[in-house]
Amino acid sequence: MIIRPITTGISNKNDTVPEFADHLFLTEVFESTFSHDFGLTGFGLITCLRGQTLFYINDQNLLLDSSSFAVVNRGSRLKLSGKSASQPVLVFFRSILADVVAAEIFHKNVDSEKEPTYEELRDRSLIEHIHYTRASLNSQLRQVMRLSQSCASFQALKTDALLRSLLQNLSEENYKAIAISSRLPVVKKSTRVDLYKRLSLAKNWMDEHLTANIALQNSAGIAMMNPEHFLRNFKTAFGITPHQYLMQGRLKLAKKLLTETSLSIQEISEQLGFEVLSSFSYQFNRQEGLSPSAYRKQAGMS
Amino acid sequence: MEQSQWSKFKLRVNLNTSIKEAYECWATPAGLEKWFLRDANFKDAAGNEKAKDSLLTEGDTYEWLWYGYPDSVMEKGKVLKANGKDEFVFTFSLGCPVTISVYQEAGETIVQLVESDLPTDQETMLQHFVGDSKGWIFYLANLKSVLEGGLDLRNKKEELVDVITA
Repeated sequence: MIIRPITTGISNKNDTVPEFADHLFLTEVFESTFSHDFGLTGFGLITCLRGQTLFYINDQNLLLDSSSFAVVNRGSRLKLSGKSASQPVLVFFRSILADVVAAEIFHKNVDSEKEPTYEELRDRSLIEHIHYTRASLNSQLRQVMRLSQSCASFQALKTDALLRSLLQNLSEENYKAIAISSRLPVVKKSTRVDLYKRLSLAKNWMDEHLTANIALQNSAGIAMMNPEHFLRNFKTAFGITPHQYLMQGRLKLAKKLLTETSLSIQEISEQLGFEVLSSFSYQFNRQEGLSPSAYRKQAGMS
Repeated sequence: MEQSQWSKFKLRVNLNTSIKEAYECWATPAGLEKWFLRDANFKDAAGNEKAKDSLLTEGDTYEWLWYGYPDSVMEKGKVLKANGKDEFVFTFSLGCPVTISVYQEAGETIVQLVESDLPTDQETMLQHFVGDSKGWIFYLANLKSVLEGGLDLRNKKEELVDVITA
């Protein structure tokens, strides 16, 4: 991996799409307001570990902080700007490795309902949008930075392993996105990409607001679609309704709280946004085949 | 030093042990976990997991985890050659081959490690040459320490970072 300040940029002479012989990790703490134009970029991810940074990817404006990141597709046009004390991070993956990983995932999943072409696998436009950060991403990026300046054994190999793990996760997500978006009843590619991105945005938003009282109109609003259109397309893409998706997420969280905390069943029910305990118990029983207290007992917690 | 000389390095350590025991420290998963790895998982070419005490063979693939690091820091690679007695070759950093030879010299057992085909482009040359050779120096010293004195020098705490022992 090569680590450099952002202002040294990337080499894309004559406005061509750059190829990366090694992973490139760009980061810098800016002392004053800044803006930087990268021109065309390779496949990577962008985030901001301190403060906020406004990234412009083609015609999208994304304000990112440590709770969010975005994927940049190979060949996209990228600019960024921000205020002092911000620390943006841009990671561009080794081009050949990105292709190898995509091809490996493709070969592992040959039985899936639709086999994407190699060109489709290299195209990450479906996941080129804002994602909400799992805490592990920030910790991995910080670990990459620490390791790059560390005296630890095999530090170059270990930073590569961390970046490969990020690349693997993004490539798997891209593969899933290709499979899911192929179910959408849209012929034109740009429309399908746009529709998939809107649905994903709403799905990610629901993940972040599992315990809130979310109505169909709220998630449809995030996707900038009318509720009926959103409901129909969400179900086609993901196989379940937005309500079922929310319920699944809540019950997954319930299982975590039941086995990892000593909160009472009533407290868990309230924390998950259920208005009455009986509704939580009913939904839990329906999905798991036993009550929340029986589940907790089975897991060895009293 | 010419640029091509950065593509390879050789390290040797003398051990007061038998060739067989030294070889098994490289060519069995349990042997590797004694002095090198937190978890050494190998699969044969058909995808079956290898037992921890089994001898590794050509075509086996591995997933290695390190003490002091979470599971996201996983090295993957392949056994390129294993003759069952004194030569063991595997892919390592950036897929570069590492050749282990075990032989006798002056009444002691020598483990010789050669890592070759390292990239020689300006930006990555130094970090892989220096980083890998530095890493192997510690681990070969730990191999000697574990085999001869029973003392494992590896840092096993994830909260302790930036030390040469992990």
